Amino acid sequence: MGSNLFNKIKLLKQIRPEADFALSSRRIILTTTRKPHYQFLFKKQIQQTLILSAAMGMAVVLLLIVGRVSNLPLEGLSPNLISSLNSKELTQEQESINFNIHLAEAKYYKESTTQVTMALNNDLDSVAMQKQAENINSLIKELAL
Amino acid sequence: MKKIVFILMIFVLGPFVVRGQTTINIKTALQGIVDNLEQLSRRLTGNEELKIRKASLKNVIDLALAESNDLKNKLIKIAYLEGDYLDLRDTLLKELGNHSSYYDSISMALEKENSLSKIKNISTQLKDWRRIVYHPTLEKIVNFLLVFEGRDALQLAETRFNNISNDLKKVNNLEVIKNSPLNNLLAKAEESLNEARELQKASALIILKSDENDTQKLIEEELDKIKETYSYFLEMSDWLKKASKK
Repeated sequence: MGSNLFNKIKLLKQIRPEADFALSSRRIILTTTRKPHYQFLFKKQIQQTLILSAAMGMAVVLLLIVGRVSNLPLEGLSPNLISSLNSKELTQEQESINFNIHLAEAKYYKESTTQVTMALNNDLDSVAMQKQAENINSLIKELAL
Repeated sequence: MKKIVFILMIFVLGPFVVRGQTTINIKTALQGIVDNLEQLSRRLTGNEELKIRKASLKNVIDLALAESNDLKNKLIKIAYLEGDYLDLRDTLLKELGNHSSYYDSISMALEKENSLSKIKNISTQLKDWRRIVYHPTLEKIVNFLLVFEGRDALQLAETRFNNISNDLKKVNNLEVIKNSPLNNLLAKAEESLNEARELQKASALIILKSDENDTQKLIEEELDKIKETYSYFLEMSDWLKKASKK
């Protein structure tokens, strides 16, 4: 009895669909869109929402920064904000101008001509000569050349 | 290789050596004149006086030559000259060359003379020549140098002004800058700079005319205006420094 049933079950394994049915069923399966898995869909939606929120958050932050730039507080200023106002460079430049305009030399040339003309005077007495020597001496001390 | 380095050193260091020598020569020649005057003021024999007067004249000629070299070097150093100014510089250099020739001839005459009266004559000749020829040329040269030193100083200040002005434009949309004294100070600096520019123009015109002599005063005023410009720049710099520390 037992072996008889076993043989019958074996016969059931040989059951096959008809060829036409198999073909039409395959077509239906292949042309039907796959429905997403509900769990996966839920995860993806959360992810998208998070990205969108982050982007919106960034946009808001940027808008706030741009909006507040025109009202930046003083502590936001850097001393190098206007690099051409570097005080060290400005001072050096001002000093170089003083140094390069030789007004002292012009003064020397003006005075030396007078002193030398006097020294060439043949009629100077001894007191005048001493005085002249002192004048030229003070000129040497002031000489900026 | 050593030769090349040596030649390069001469070219690089040459101007400094020449300048150094010129400075020493002017001072040395002046000191020589002082020493001779002090000796002449004492009681001297005829021969002593002759010797000291000759030495004194020689010192005056040395001084004149040293000054002449100094001025020549400075004239040659002026860059970017054109038109009438280039011609004027050439004329002045030529006149300095003539002066050197005159001093050489006086120097030769001096060496030959052994009579006190003739030495005194040479002294008088030199004095007159300096008054008539040397002094007017010297004045022109000194004024010429001052004008172009003023021009260079003005250009430096103008470049600085333009840089500050451009930098300020970039940050002028900031409310804190708009409400700051920076723009007002820059406007004041521009005003001083414009005045300096006008003084520079006036002094540059004057040196082309031979009979005017206000150049030095104009350059002094120009320098004051440039200094004023920088005082505004420094005030701006100070404000920025203080503002960033608040």
